[in-house]
Amino acid sequence: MIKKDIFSKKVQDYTFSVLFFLIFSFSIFFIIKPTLTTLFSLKKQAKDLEEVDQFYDQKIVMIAQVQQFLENHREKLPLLKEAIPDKPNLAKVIDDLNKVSSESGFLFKKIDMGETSLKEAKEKKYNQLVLNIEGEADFSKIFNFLEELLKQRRLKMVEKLIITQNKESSPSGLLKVEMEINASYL
Amino acid sequence: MIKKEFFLISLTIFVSVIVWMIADIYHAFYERKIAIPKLPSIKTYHLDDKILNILVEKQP
Repeated sequence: MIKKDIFSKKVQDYTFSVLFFLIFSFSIFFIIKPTLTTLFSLKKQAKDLEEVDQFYDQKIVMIAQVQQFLENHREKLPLLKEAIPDKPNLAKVIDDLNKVSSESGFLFKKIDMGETSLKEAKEKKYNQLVLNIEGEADFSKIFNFLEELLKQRRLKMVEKLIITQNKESSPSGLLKVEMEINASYL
Repeated sequence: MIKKEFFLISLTIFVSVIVWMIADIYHAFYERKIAIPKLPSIKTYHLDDKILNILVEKQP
């Protein structure tokens, strides 16, 4: 009776299915899943590495461009630093003004520094050193002074220029000059 | 009856393992393995040669 029950068709089908599901679940869990996970993980890793490679390629091209740029302008780039230095170099500016003054015959009466903000404004790309100058000279000397001043490599801007006739001066025709000069620095 | 229950339990285990495997594969495929490194930005420079030529002519 028992023998007959075990080998009946229905019992055999259930046993086969149960064994199939259990063995296949075991093999999926311990063999197929780790293999597929590793496979897809490696595939993703390769994709990520391609992206990183592309990113590094872009950076290398950009560095090469900058290197090329520096190579092409190597000799002339220090001139930019002379034109707009990274520090105010007030002594150099005064020295430049004295040199121009002695060359052109422009007489200084007064030089003072205007308002300079010591706060570094983030949106500002450069800072300015403001110098207020008062002096005396005839028109040709003033013209020479300005011409020589603008010939200098350190960039300076004449922001304001007031020329008035000096009533107190001698009849030699000296004019009173007030000017505001801005020297830029980074 | 007990045979049928065994069958259902084994089927549940099978389906759970399949779902677990799919979830694991999905996670392995979409999880970023290697992060893009953070490097300082490199600017492209453009400089007009005229400016440099003018500066060459000026007095130091």
